[in-house]
Amino acid sequence: MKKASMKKMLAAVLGLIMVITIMAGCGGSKKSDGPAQSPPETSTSAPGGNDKDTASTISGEIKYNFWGDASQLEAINRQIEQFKEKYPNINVIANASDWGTYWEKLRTESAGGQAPDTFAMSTTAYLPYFAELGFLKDVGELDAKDDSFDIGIYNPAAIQLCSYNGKVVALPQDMNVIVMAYNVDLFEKAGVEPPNEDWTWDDLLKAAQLLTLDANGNNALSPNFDKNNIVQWGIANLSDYLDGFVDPMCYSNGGSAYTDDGRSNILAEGTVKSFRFLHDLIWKYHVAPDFDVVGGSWFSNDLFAQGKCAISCLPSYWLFSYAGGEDKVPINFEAFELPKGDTGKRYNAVQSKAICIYEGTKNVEAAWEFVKFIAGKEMAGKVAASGSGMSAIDEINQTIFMSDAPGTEATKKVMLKAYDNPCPVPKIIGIGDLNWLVGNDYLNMIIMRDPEFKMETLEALDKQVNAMIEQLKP
Amino acid sequence: MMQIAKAKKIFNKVLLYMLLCFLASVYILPFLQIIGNSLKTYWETQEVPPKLFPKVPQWNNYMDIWVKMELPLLRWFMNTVFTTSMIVLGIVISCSYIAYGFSRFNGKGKNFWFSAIMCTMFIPIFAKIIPVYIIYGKLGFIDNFLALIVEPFFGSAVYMFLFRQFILTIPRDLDEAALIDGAGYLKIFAKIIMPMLKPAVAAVSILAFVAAWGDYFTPMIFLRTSTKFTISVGLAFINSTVTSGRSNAHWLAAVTVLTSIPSLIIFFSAQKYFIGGLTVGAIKG
Repeated sequence: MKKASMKKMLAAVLGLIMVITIMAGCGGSKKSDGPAQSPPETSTSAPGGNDKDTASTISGEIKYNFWGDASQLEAINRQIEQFKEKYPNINVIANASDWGTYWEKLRTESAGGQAPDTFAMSTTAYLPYFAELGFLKDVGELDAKDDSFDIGIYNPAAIQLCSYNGKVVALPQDMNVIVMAYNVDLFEKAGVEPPNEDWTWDDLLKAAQLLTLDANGNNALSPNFDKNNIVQWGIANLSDYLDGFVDPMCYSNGGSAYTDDGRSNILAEGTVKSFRFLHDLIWKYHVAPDFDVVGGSWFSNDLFAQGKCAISCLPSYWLFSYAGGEDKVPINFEAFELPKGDTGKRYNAVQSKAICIYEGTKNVEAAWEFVKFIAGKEMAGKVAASGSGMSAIDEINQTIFMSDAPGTEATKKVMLKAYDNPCPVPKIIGIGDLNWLVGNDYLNMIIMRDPEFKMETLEALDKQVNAMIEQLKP
Repeated sequence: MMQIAKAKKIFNKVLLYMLLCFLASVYILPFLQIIGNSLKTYWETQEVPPKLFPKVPQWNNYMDIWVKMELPLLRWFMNTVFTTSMIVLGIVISCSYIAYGFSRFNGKGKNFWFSAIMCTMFIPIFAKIIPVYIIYGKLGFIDNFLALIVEPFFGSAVYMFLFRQFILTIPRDLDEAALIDGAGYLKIFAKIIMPMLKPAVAAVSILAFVAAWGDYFTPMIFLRTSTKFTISVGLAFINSTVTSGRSNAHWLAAVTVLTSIPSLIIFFSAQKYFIGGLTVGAIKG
């Protein structure tokens, strides 16, 4: 009996698995199973200067991969539908992954000769790597042969970010800045003057001290301040955000993470001073939470969004999340540029997300049309209006971004002005991985978690960065 | 004297249970935290210091992950069920058969080949991923479940070793008796060895199930289309903090709780086989 019931149970389980596997194998998604190519049912308007005949003769299926979340995949698929109205015979299949997965996958796919036809590219983190290995098509050459398009519409700084060894290897989809933000209400409540044009890092420290409060309401300058019972922080801990925050600070103090010729500059005076300053914010002045409290700068930003921290960083592509829609942050904030350093200058990170064509693509024509469309004025305007990013086209920033993007006018003006003080971006192969090593592995895990600031740790980091730079050279 | 001995026994038992409760709480605390987070609002998940449970449980999170997130969660779940089932099936069939060969037959170079297979245990997936990707690319396995399920049908050193150790405890007399009666080796394997391998099959199935269910790297590399993702890759997709500046920690926790339920059911319903299967081979060896 027992044997019979065991057999029945096994049969039931196997049957259930069979049903589920049949259901999993059936059906498909509109997004993954692209519709078969078919001739246009209605006439299409001439796209971007190409005549109607050319648009309908270009055909094929191309893949587009990018990093993002589900809502962005949805937005891209809507853009693809618009693209299909102009190019009915080009079928585009878009796929999205999270940031970490995306780069791991892209490296493997490129090395395996299976990279997607077009893909998104971080110009500051990974463009040199993929360009050096020859995976990116020279779009400057394609532009030169195409009378309907002119890369001159883009901000020269964006084209510079998209270039490698004198060749333009990507078209910029956006050009974003990383500025800082402060909680207006917390500043008013504490009676602290808001940040201004002349702010230095010392001014930021003074404000942070007045805005860091313990459970009894004492600020960090008070003799009764209880550093073990802090309920409101003056500034978020941004120490692991190397390219967005730490390196611009280093530059303002006359240092930098890397030299112009691609070596470590960790031990330069201005760099050491900046690291020490960030360390002191946590351990000496107690105005920033340490990483055992928040785990990393991204979580530190959440403290700011909840109103438990007075100052943090603000990438311009977070405007839609912070200031737009139902889930906008429940605080009143304004932006300001990074403070001035010892050099008397300030620097803000300027980053561009670009779109590339894989060198090994079998459909260059279709890929080029899609890339022009995604990076073109029309799409750039939509991105800017939504608050998902600023445009690499100045005209769109001056008009659509200023009028339609979420956020206050003052905040958007600060973001536009931040373009005037861009932090230099070294073209080092593997800089994305280097930034992770310096920011996450060392600044987060070692330097900022140790109450004592040790030069030996910086010296070890310096050696490791140089070793890694050598290792990453092809 | 007897009372002292009894008191000592009770004291030792209380001490043992206190230690076990402490260890159990250490292991269960992260899971409780995830359950707690799945019932919080987004802002409650970001509180510092973190609290274990919410003020007011947000049961609607379990509805919102289906309605508001607009992600193919059911599809991901079914993909994971399919790939995991096929992987477990492939491993059980191939590894039991290979182990039968290594435990019952002698031949030239047997020890060498056994050692060579064992050595493959020490090659990390990251070391071989690019050549494997190239091969799979040529075979058309990219963005296809075949990239996940074909390899298990060709064996796995760890599970093959487990099966081999178990088969060694089965007396050879049974094989010889069946041989005398005219049974072939395949029949001996199917009719005599396999029925006696139930504990090992259960143990290997559970281990393979848990490994396959939670595998992130292989599906991440080989699957492109978001509707083909498995749950583990889908979870990473949900948590795209970099682009939006906001993690969906409460929804992520809800999906995590739901997706860990199958593993828990499988383990708790078959744990006696799991423990029996792992230990018999070890003791009698």
